[in-house]
Amino acid sequence: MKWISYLDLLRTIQRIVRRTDFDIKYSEGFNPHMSISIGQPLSVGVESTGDYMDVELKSEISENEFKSRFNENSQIGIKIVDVLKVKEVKDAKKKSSMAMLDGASYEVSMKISQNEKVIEEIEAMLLKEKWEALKKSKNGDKVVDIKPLVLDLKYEILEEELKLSLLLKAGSRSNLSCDLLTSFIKEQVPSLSADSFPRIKRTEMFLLKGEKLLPMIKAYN
Amino acid sequence: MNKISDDILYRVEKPSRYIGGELNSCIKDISNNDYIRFAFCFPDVYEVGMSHLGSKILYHVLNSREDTYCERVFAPWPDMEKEMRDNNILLYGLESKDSLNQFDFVGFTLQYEMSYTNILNMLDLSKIPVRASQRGEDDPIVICGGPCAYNPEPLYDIADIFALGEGEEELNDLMDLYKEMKHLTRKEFLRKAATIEGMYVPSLYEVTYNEDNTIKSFEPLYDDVPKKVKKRIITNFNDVSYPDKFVMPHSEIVHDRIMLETFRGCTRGCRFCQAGMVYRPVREKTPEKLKELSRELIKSTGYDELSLTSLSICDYSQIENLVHSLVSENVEKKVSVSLPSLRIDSFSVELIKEIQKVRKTGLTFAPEAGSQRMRDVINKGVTEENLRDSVRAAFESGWSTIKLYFMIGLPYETEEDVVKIAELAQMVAEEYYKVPKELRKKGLKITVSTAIFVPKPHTPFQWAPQDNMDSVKSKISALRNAIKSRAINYNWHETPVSYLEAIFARGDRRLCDVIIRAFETGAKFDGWSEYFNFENWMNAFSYCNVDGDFYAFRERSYEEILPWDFIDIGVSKEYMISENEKAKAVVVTGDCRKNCTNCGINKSFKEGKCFEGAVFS
Repeated sequence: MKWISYLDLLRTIQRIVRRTDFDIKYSEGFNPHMSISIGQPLSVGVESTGDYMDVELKSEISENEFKSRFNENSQIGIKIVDVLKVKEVKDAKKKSSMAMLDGASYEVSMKISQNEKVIEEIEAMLLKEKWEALKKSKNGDKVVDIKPLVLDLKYEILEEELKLSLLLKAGSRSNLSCDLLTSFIKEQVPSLSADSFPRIKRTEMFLLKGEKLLPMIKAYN
Repeated sequence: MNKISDDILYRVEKPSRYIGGELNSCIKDISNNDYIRFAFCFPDVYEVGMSHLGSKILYHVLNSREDTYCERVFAPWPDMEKEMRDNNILLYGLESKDSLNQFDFVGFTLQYEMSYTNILNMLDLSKIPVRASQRGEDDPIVICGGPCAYNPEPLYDIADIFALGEGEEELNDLMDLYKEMKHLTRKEFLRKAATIEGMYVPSLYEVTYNEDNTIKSFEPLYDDVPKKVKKRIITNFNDVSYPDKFVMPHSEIVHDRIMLETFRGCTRGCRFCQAGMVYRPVREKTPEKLKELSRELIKSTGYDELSLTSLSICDYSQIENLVHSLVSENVEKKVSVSLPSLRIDSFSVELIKEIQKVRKTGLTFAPEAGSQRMRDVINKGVTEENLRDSVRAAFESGWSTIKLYFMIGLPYETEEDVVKIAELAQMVAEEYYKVPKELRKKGLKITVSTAIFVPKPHTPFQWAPQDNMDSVKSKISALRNAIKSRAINYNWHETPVSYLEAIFARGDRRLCDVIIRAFETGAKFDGWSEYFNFENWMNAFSYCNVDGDFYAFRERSYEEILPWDFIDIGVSKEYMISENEKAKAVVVTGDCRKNCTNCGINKSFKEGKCFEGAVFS
């Protein structure tokens, strides 16, 4: 499943939903589409065990029924792990989960080509005050200090692989893509294998509640 | 089993093409069962092959057997091919990832002449000898079917067997034979396979040539090998095996919707059309059957579009009833119904409005020729009046985008005929402006598309020379200059690909060496402009000392033995000759639903009744 693109994933999920026969809300107009949105796109090749989807239904259904019917009609690689029913508040604008996103956690594995200097290089990188990376965008490339966007970084070396546990800023207000960070790390740590691609898995998405970042399923209201 | 590493998948475009595991793909337990292994190969990339209905039908037919496991294979895109060759990964079946050279049968569907080099490449990538004459006891049997198999000769030393006609029953017969005869040698098995009706084993026939390179004789080598190979047809078309689910592609494919095959065959008799000749007689599925199939497929796939597939869809005897029921049954679920391009003289606004209740799609018409004279020559028969009425009705109902398809280089055509295309398009534009502003939708867009005519075997035009490239260029130029309105957009195809198509469509055995040589010097994905290399092909022709013009530009005589004469499609050669003569005299042949035109199909195929299943009101 990690090999299909974001748009293809959306299309696949729409078809799963069609097979469930849920009473889904559709948009108005010439080309009605389902009221389903899934979170921040991940690049092709990135996995996720902690992504969120917003679905609007026209009639009531229990959280458990939604979860079981969806999973029954789903396919290998896509499964609902938890459901939160959000009550509609009169006259208040519906908040999409993605609009409220503040952070995301990732697990990364990167192959090491030479073991001796790896830790030395990583520690040197962590000591740097600024992490300047080239951020590509539609309006041109910009050099950005990405260190403040890394909220937490833990690492260990296991069987010729560098394993990272990351918590990064995410969402429309402030965002660091995991791809950008891993490219930066590859540059800073030459002992990492140049030909190999980092394996990235997004594990959870977070909302800021006061000072604390909480998993969206717990924090959303 | 081939292991494709993540690193390789990260490096290639659209990695989901190569992973398998799609919803509804067939998984069978190969470790505990001794299945007949069948690799069904579509010689183009995933997105094209996954759109092909015939492959889906045969995948379902073969996998419905308990003794057979059929898997899908597509041509890897050149970036993936390079990774495979560099990493010693052989071409594999998507379901099991087992290499093709481990299979019992490797089947290819011949949809398009320019896919032939991909077939050779896929065999090569599987380490299966490209030439049938060089395969050994351990190599799979290579079988080819589909429309281009109606002239199999250019691939005579590539396929071990050709399956002519409709494959649903034929392939079952072949699997039954294989199960019984597993102990036979390869040669013995092929000899037995030749006795199955519809199966052509080229190695059991010999061809000799005259001094002028035309065919002198085409004879079977043994008495038990049939002189003529008769195509297979399904007589009970309503109950024939049809999928109850489709493999759901991972990524967007060319035709991403449910396809319901409503009927086979066509009664219009357009003289350029091979499909209209080879799929006779007309056999329909009942509306009840189609509704039943649609319900199963909607449930198992989750698609939101149902497409009714056939030649000349509006000729389906109960089209209004069918469309109305499908639309009303599905309007709440927001499943839309779509129709392929419509004949202008059976276009009905009511019908179209019905199907557009859910979602509006574009409108396509295929007048094929610009002047009434030419339309009568090709027996397309539609009039300017028909087109005028249809587009007016469409514009009044809110359409503003119309596509018009034409062919250039038709037999007996003049430049004046081609320029009339511009006049026709202009007429369509004027009809739009006649509709009051309040009724019509803003933004008129008319697209005119012309393709270069390729004479096809088993049609009344099979003796005709293709129009040469200079003549075509000058006609296209004249048409471009004749189009004035800004609302009309003209798309034309001018590539030399059509020249090659004409050669292979009506080629003989001597072209096999040319295809092999072209493949050896790098030809692949010839249907894709970024890979097509005309010079490479011309070099292959001269290397093999074969003149392409002989096949494309030569007007053939009625007395000549044609490479595909040994195939009986049911429609007689006399009929083809009579139709060609009528074309020269600009005489139209009517729709045979109204009056039998004696094409011969009901004589040679007594078990197939014309219009089987159709209900006429």
